[in-house]
Amino acid sequence: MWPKDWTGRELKRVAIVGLAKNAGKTTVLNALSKLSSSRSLPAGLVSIGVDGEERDAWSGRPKPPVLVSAGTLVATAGPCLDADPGTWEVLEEIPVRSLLGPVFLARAVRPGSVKLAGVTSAKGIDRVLEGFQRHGARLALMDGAYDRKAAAHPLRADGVVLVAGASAGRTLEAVVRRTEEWVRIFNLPPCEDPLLKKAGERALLEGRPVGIVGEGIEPFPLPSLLVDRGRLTAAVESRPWSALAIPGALTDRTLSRLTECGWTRPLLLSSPTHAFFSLRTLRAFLRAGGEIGYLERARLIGVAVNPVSPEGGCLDPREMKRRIADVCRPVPVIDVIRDGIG
Amino acid sequence: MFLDEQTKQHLLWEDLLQRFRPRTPMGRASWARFVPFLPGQEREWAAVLEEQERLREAVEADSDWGRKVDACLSRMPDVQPLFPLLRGGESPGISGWFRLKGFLWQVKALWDRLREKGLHPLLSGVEPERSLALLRRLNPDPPLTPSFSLVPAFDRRIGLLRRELERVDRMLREEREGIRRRIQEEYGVGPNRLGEWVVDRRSDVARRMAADRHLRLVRETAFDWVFVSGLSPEGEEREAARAELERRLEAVEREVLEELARAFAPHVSPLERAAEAVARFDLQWSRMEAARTWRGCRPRWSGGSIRVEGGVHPVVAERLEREAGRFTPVDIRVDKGVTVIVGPNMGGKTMALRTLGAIVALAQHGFFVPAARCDMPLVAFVSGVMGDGQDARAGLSTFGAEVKRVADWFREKEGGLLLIDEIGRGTNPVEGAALSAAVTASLARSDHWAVHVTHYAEVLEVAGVRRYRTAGLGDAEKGGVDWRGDDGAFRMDYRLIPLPEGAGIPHQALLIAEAMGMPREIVEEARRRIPGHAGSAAGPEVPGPGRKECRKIDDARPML
Repeated sequence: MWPKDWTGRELKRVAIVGLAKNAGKTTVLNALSKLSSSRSLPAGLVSIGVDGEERDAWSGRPKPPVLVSAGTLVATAGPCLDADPGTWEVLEEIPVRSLLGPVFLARAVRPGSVKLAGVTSAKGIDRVLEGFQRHGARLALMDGAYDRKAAAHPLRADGVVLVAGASAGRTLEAVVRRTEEWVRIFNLPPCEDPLLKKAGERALLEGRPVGIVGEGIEPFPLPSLLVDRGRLTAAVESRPWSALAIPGALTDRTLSRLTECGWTRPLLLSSPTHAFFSLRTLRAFLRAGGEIGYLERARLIGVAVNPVSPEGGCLDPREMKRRIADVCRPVPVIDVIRDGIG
Repeated sequence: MFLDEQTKQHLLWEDLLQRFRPRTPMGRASWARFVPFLPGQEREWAAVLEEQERLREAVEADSDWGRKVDACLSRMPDVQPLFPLLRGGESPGISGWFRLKGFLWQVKALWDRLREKGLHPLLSGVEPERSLALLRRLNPDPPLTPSFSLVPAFDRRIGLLRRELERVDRMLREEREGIRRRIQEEYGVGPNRLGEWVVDRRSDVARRMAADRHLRLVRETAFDWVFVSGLSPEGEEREAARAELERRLEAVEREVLEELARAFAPHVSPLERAAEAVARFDLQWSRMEAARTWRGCRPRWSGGSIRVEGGVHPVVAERLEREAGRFTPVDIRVDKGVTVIVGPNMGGKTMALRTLGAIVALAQHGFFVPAARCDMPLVAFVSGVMGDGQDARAGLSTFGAEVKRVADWFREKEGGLLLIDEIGRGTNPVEGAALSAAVTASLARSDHWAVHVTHYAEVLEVAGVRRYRTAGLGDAEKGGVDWRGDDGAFRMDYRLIPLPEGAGIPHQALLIAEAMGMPREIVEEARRRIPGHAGSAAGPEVPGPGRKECRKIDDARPML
């Protein structure tokens, strides 16, 4: 059963993120949109980026259209609305471009379907979300293209649904491992230390790493951590740092280098959208005594499993759900095809 | 060409235009085709400036009104691509009709705003009654709203068919709900979002469902069977009726759009005129707003001279302000012929040229200008030889490139504003000075308004030139003025002041060199080498070919 708070009032912006290409995000989007509509909470649908998926990962048939009920809001390009003129009340043209042209906000006047032209810029998404709010959407659903974590940014989404599809690996084992990695990294704890949080905010403001020495906050000697090991070691040893706040991405290589340089103190990232390291590297860092936290983090509100791969493979749905639930606990896991939603 | 690329760069033209932002798509398109006002267009030029003056008065008296006008312009959609479609009798898509409605909406709002201040004649070309009538044609159901959809008021069949479709949908939903309940009760499984039942093929339920004659196995995987349920014969009929209703509804909707296209076709020309009026007004508005950022004054036409008082280059002034500096306003009068500016290096001569050029170019593009006062004729072009004009592609050196540009000026039939920063500096000083004086003498007899910044004393001797000097270090060369500020920093007076008849080139290069850190002994050595200087080793006459004739005192390469 889908947890009741998944689309409860506190969730206004939900991002749907795929673990891999053809994970089946559209199906989850449709299910959430339908749920929202059945509860008389008008949803606003927007797609982030374009990933070129053509086939439906669930059925192998052509990719499912995005379904809308009367009252659903969409953000898409003019030609996508023109294809079915009787379905839409066009509300507004917003200063945002998609690959198919300028983006309009429209409300469905009767049930139908639509192609969502992907909005490619973060600023554009913010404008769409503001527009949804202006026109009364109670829940914004963001269909994030494969590997675009931007949709899951905490300033944009207050809830994230991960879609773990069979397309993410050749075996159930591989899919489970990738899902676990994604969830573990996404769910690293938010920062509780007020001084470190302050350092994180300053790092974001100044656009460079900022460290803590004693009770004070000081700029880290390097404007970026993407340097050779010698310079990184020198910077690490330059002061008695007790923690470091990083404003940008933390890559696998940088985290490995920090571990090699003997950095075993807390690291703060601005959000999970900046975590680009593997679980293996993270484990090595944690084992050495390090800690990683986030300044802000959207809530992972669920993992949707899809046992069908568009390449033809199919995993045992029950086994997949059980195994994914084991590694994601306590995050709820749902199979929207078999279990339904809501 | 009124303003060539090289001159644009010298005048920082692109940076200046950063402040000019047409709000509407038609305004932006119109600006791309815009040509400046040229001699013979004095009346049109004055009219444009007069309109801006009225707009500025209205905005400054009522800033809230100004914000509303700005909002109307900023929300104006791009309708130009729709006109060819409508003219050809084709219907745009629903997003196109929405844009057209938005255009009519904003045009009406803009016209209403302008009428509040008696400024609606500035939107001549807009027919407000027609705009309102067309707006109502796209909004048949009162009240007027900015959104657009095919509401039943367009054609009563839309309402009838939609209601019928809803009724059939409801009956189909009820039948499907009955089937869902029956299957749920009998087999304990619910359908997925595709209306299919997916069950584990190894389960007993799967075997029982396979035996149910109302269910059909449509797909199977290694793990699942997927069933669908057929409808009752009445349900099948309803499904067929639904498809037919949808087809009819789509046909009616298409008809409505085609009818709209036919209804709008005769109005395309007036709509195009309205779009042109909006574009013209937008350019006026955006010019006015840009000029407000530099507190511009209205330039006035004068038959002969260009006179600028308190002229400023806004881009440079802004940069200086960021560095806690201050731009020294330029006062200058330029008559037909040549105006010569002399002065020390770093004294602001080139900046005076840039400022003058920018002001004249802005004025002829219909802007109020960054000056306290500006009287000027319309010139045929503005062109400059300033700084490094090396044209590597043409294989020309700085000297070659500059000479080529100057030679081109002599072929121009109409008078332009020529901005010359030391012609001849790129070659040997003797010939450079001679060329500089000769060019000046020729330009003095031409129809151009030429301003020549120079260090060559020979240029000052050309008959009929107006002379200025930058104040520079004042009388510092005589030792009478302390040219250091309180903080010990270099203190330069950048004002342009008329150079009295008979006065020569100020000798301040060595003072500046010293102030800039040149070792004192070198400066002293240089002083000794100046003929006629107290303590000069060279004496008043310096032997050697050409030395006597060359009286260029300062550095050959003036700096800003």
